[in-house]
Amino acid sequence: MRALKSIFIPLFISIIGIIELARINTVYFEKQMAFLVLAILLYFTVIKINLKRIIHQYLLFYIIGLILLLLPLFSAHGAVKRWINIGGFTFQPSEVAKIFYILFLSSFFSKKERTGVSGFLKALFMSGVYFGLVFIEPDFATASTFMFIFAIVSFVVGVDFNVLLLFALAPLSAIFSFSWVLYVGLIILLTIYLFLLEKRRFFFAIFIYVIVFSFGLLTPYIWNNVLKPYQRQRVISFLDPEKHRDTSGWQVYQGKIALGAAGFFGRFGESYNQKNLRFLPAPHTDFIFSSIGEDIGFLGLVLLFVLYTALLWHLYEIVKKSRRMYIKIFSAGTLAFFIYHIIFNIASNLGLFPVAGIPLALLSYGGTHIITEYTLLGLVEGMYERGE
Amino acid sequence: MERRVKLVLFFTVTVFFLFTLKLFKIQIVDHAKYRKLSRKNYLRVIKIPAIRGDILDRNGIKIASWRPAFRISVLPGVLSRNKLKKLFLLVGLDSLAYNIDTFSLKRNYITLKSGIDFRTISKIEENLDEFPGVVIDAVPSRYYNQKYISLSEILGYVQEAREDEIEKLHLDVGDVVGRRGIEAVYDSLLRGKNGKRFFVVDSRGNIIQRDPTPPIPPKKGKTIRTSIDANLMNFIDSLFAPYKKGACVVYKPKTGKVLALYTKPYFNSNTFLREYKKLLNNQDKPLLNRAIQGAYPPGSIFKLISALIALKTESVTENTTFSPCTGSFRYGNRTWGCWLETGHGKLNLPHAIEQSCDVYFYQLGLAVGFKRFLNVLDSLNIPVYTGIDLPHEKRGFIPTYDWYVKRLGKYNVTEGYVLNLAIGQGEILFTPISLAVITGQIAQKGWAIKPYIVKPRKLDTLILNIDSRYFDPVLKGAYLVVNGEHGTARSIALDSIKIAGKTGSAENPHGNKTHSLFTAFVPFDNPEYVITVIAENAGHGGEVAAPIAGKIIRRLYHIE
Repeated sequence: MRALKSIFIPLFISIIGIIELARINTVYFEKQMAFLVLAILLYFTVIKINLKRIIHQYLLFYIIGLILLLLPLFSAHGAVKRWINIGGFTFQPSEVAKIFYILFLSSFFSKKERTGVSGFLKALFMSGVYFGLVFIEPDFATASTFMFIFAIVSFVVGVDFNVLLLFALAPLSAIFSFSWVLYVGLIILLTIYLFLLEKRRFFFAIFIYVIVFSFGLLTPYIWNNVLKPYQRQRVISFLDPEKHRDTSGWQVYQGKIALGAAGFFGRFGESYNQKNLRFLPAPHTDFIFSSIGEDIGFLGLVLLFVLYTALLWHLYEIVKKSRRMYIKIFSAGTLAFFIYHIIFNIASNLGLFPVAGIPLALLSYGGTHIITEYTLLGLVEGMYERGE
Repeated sequence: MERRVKLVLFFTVTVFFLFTLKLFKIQIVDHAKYRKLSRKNYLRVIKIPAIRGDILDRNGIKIASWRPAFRISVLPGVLSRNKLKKLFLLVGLDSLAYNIDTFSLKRNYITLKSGIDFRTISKIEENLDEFPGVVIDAVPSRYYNQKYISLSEILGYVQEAREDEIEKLHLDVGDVVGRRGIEAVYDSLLRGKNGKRFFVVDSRGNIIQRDPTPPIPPKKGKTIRTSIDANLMNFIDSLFAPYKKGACVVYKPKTGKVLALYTKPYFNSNTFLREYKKLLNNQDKPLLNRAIQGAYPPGSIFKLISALIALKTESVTENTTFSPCTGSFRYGNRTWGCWLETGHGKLNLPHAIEQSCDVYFYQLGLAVGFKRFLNVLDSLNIPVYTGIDLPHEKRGFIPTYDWYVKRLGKYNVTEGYVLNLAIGQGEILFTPISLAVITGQIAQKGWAIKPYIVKPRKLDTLILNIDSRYFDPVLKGAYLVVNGEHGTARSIALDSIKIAGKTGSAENPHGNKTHSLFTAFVPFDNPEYVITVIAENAGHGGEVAAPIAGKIIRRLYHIE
């Protein structure tokens, strides 16, 4: 009964997505409908799984995730090794690996003694293998999902914030260095933080600045030598969409038009809209937020935010109420997973972040993704019901 | 732990709130702007070209009009570079008159080419699926009456506007501009105002709906009536059949109307652009409108002006006779011949004009004096440039005393030069149109209306700076040229109507035969028409040019 109540909000969001997909193309609708049914079945199946006996075998989860990440590298074809074929279905193992990764983290950090610096470093080292494997697929978006989940989980389990800061700072200053406003903002925030520390730690401060400046300046090198042209293009066009009409910046521009022209109530009934005339790119995946926004307008999108907040709140309540550490951590990891897939997708739709191919939680078209989401939710519910 | 999760959640909700603010900006504040952009996305404009105004001859015959032609337009941003290249190949286009990217920004249909033949069109239509965003339709296109193609040099032609012209004249891509002739001079009148049609298209260039809002109809350009007589032009063309090169002007000095402005060889306005290279390399220079751009030595026709100079300086009177002509004249240490080797004997001024006696005019020149001759010539205000309403009229040339000094050095300028000058040989150059106007001025004792093809609001009068009383002996001479017993053009004399004129044979360095010149006015006592004929390398004025003029006059007065 509780499980039914818990699935109501994610299902409600998913149905909005299904309706939207039906409006875009019935092919997407039919496929996604099948995946949703499968996902719901999985939700009620995984609720029954009792992980209690193996939950402390963090290596087990780690290795399963690792195998999943290695699979596409050996069996996939083409330059981008992201999918593998199973009986005619393309399947993205890195999505499923996220489940095992969160399981690994909750298992690992559930021992209080592992939340110290040495435990953190061990987890970081093990996670680094994951990051690297996804990065060479190459799938920057998924790699950053793992990093994000790791950062949030490490934070909530109580790893020293200063330690976290040291490690988070490198990627942050690299990304922020693309916009001098963000970069300067980061430096200012850091300076304020360093002043507010109880004890003025001189060497710590120096170290922090060294990281910020070296990574900020190293980025141009990475930019020119590591990133693929399509990735570079995405970032370029992110910075100035009107000038790069044929690129993904043009997509963002069209997405904004879809949102802007929709106004307060949306243009559900209009036939000459961005979606129908196919001006909105990838309306079923990257730009489903804009596509939905075109139909339901500002009012509808605010309601969508309310729904997402309710979903996140539900996960927070589980963190709060459950007594076992691993349940708390798993729930927090799931929370991080959803936050990531909501915030970064919407940010890219609004032109605040490059279009990186991050699906929107519960809404974007894609089988593996929706199955992963409902599996995560099901696992959280199951653990909570049993472990309470 | 809950505290930190709560913090994460708090941050997330804050981000949601910031997203909402951003959405508020996009969806509420900037709603109108995005609404417009969305409309601009799908509503694309295709130009409906205005019909260019007709050009009529004096009798209302349409010599330039229009006919439908296929046009091919593309929607910018739909076709890839390679597809565009392929399309160019199919259309037979090697380049555009403009940079396509400049006009892509407006995102409306761009005219690639108009006037494509049916075979090419059907080839493209077969493969239309391959070229999304391409629209083929029929539009009015300039067409010149093939029957009156001898008028081409007067009409000019039209060509797709270049990028700079599009900007300067505020044209649309694919609009044409007039080049040469009437088309160029009256371009802004002939050009109408383009209309617009609207299409709803999707992002791939497929047309979803035509005319969701009613089209804006184009406005046709103004019809222009010219003074040219198209059938007369064709008649003149037939008279020039035996000759390779030449020009002919028929002009009404009383009104300024130019009835014929013929040049040979001439181009065809309909095929000009296709044949441009060939025309450019043609030895006979068909790109030269000889009637207004050909500079010819006037030959003996100039004797009329020499006589006027002598009369104005009172160096001669009508009855002045110099030493009789023996066929040659001794001056300095050299013998100057007359064209009639047997000599003309003793002549007065009108008879000297009648027979075009060189010896008489040598002495007339000497009587005036070289320097004075040139100064008076300069003061006459001879219209070497008429200002006719056609582009690139060439200025004739009349030398001045200073010009000789500059060219030869002060001590080499001798009286002897006046001998050549007085008979019209040497450096003097006139265009046929200018010769016609001068003839009109002489015929009317000093004035003629500035020639035109399209009647201007105000008529200008071109006046010779000489008293009208000096003209009588010259006119008498001109009368005798046709009607006198020994006149050089007596073969064309008519009973019913009196013609006057002057023949000329200009030596030219390029051919063995002289240019044959004749300029005439008719009727003698009330000049209505001036006819000036030049046939290059055709012989003496009386042999070729005068008979052509005679036939034109007979046609003008319907005499068989």
